[in-house]
Amino acid sequence: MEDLSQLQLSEEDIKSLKETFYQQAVELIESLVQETLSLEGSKDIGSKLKTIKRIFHTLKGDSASIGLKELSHLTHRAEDLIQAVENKSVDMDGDVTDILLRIADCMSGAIDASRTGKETPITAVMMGAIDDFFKASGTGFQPVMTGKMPVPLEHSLSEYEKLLLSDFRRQEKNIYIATLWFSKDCQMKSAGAVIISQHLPCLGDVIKVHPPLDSSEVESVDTIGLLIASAMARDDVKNLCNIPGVIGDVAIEELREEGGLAVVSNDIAESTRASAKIAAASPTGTIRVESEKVDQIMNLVGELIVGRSMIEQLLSEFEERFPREELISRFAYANSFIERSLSDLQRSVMKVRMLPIDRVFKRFPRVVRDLAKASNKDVRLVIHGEDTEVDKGLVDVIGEPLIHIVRNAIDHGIETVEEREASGKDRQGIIALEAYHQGNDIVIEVRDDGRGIDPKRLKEKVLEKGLISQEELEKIDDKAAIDFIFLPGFSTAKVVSEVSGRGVGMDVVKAVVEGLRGSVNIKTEAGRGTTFVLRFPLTLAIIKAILFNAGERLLAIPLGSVKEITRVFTKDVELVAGREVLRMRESVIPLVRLDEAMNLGSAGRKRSKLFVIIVSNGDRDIGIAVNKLLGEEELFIKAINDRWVSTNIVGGASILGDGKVVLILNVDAIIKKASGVKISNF
Amino acid sequence: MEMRNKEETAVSPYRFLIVDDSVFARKNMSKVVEMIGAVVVGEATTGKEGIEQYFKLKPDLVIMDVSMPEMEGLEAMAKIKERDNDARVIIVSSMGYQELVKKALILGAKHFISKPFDPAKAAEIIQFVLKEIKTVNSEQ
Repeated sequence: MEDLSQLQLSEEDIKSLKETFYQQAVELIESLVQETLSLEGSKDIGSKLKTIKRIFHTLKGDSASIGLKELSHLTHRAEDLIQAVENKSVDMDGDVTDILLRIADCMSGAIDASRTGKETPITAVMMGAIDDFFKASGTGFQPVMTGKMPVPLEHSLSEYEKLLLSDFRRQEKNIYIATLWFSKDCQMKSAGAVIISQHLPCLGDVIKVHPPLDSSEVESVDTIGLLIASAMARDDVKNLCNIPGVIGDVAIEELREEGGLAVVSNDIAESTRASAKIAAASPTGTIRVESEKVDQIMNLVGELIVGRSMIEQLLSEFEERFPREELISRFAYANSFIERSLSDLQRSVMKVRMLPIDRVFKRFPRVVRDLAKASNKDVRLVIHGEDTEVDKGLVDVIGEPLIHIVRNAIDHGIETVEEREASGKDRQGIIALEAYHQGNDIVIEVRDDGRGIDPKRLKEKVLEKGLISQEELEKIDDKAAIDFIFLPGFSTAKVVSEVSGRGVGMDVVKAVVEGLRGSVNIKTEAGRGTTFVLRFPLTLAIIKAILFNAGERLLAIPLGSVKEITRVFTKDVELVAGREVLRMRESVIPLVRLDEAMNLGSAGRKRSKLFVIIVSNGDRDIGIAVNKLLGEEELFIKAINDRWVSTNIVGGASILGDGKVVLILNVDAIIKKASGVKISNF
Repeated sequence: MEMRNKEETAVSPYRFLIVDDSVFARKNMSKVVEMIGAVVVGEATTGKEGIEQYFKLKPDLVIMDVSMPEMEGLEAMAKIKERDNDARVIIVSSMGYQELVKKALILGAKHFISKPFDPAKAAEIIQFVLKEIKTVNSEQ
């Protein structure tokens, strides 16, 4: 990329270039944070530093091209920092991690500011911080270290050397880039260089050595860079590079065909994947599409589904009116053809919208580290199922609620080191994030192995805050009491949080989850820990549902929540504590009459038999009495933004082929409501 | 030069000749040699003496100082190599003789140890050279 100002580019082009830069920069900074966090305790710091440096390098070049000079300077300085760590003039420790994370924050701040057109924040402060860091580590910072570490070897090849390189590639030899650090006690570097040169032939064919081993430059450098072609494996070459008394340390990487460095490291798979992702940002076959465009397509698919059900509706009317018409079968065939294609189209678009949940999860190593540090606890994060693909809509908004749950887990769940030791637990607490598919649902679990939630304390607190009356409280069992933490006004921790930037209570978490037609459940065990189970439908836009009438109203329930449909005699409905219940095999489940609950006017009260749809939220079952079942249909969900439906038991609406509006019920809300928690705010 | 076979290497220790004009240096180096389980079969204080000793004892490895009276280490090494190209020499030198050390290495010295040295580091270097002897022998 050249300087944009020098090119005759249209506004449009510049805008799209900038957008590309922003997108890539955000991804790069995310990888930067990830790599930085994995530095601590890593065995292969060398290759990680290389990756980090490469990220800075890319950002430096790109931000200069886009005209963000301050950012470019900052990244340049950050490169110097990594350089110093690589040259071992700065020790690799937690402080380096901290400052790298701060640099990452500052850079994303600068990028955000530039994106939203605000003034770039003072990166100068960060520059100062880096200088201070150098001073503190007593390195006598040399701003220009280029003499010590020249241009990356692979970028400074002569034509002849390039020819050699491609020749060796043709012979299918591995190409390695090695950096040899002179041992600290090697007082005679050029004599050492002679030994190195004598050993080089056993490594393979040398393409380039920098600086040349017979030059006087050798005396003034700390490292020798090698580009070699070899049939040997990386580790064998590395071992052969170890010459006692001369070489102190060796870093070696394989140079891959595309010219990018692929970090080959067998001990740390994740770093490989992270770098592979960076590399994967460019190759052909991938296009970047603005998510809005995909959403638009999804909306159109939704409209088409409505359109098709109109045709279906017309078809059945047509059949009624002209039962003998020959065209009907052809009409029906065309209809089913459209139906098939539509469902293929819908699936394909859905796939486009699917992203690995890793997008969300990868923020968490940082979150957990910061929170644990702030609360002075020792916490380890375990992530499972980060490859699980979920709808983009979920990825976009689930981060904040998850952060809130994790923060709660660290603040209230995980005990202090002393407490944990006293109760015989491992010093280190564990927070586990897990995502998986279950049936038509995506399940996200947040587990901690802390002290668990005490329902008695919750009850006391609710009473104290006057959120519920004493007698109502007595009806509530311990399991239901846990849900008190979702009550608005329950959370006392209304402190503006450093991580999310605003104070949110668990009620907000619940609202967000339900807004996505999901549910949240808590499993807790005293002394053993708590698990939050978040459950979402696989796709947020189109669902299969069962249509039925309750009273006069047309309603739908997502098929995924339906356990079974049964018919019961009215006389079999029993009354327990003033509520209607059904005896289903071994269990007794509450029966809900929606027509009454929703004031829809009772139509079929006097019948001797009624249909009951048994629904489940994975935790509890209830029966919903219905007047008439109308079958199964694919519904394209439209969110109900207006609050004219002043109840959370309706999750959305849809339009049927005949133009009728159907309300889609939020099963989880109904179950919670039926389970007896009757609180003013609920 | 006669080659050790594998059985011999397994049982008998490597034999060293130390050529240095300083008693302290010889003693110091002997310790290192013993540390790695090898034996010092001979010592010499000048280059000339070193050559005589070498052909008498036929050691596996010579540790030779660069600067000595009567005949410099470099010259002694060259003379030994002239008659026995397989001779293995590690050059020992203090700071300031880097050019000589380089020459010695180009002329076929196996490695160098700079004085003052840390015994453990010196031992590491010697073992590194011995390992090479072993691989060369087993290949032959």
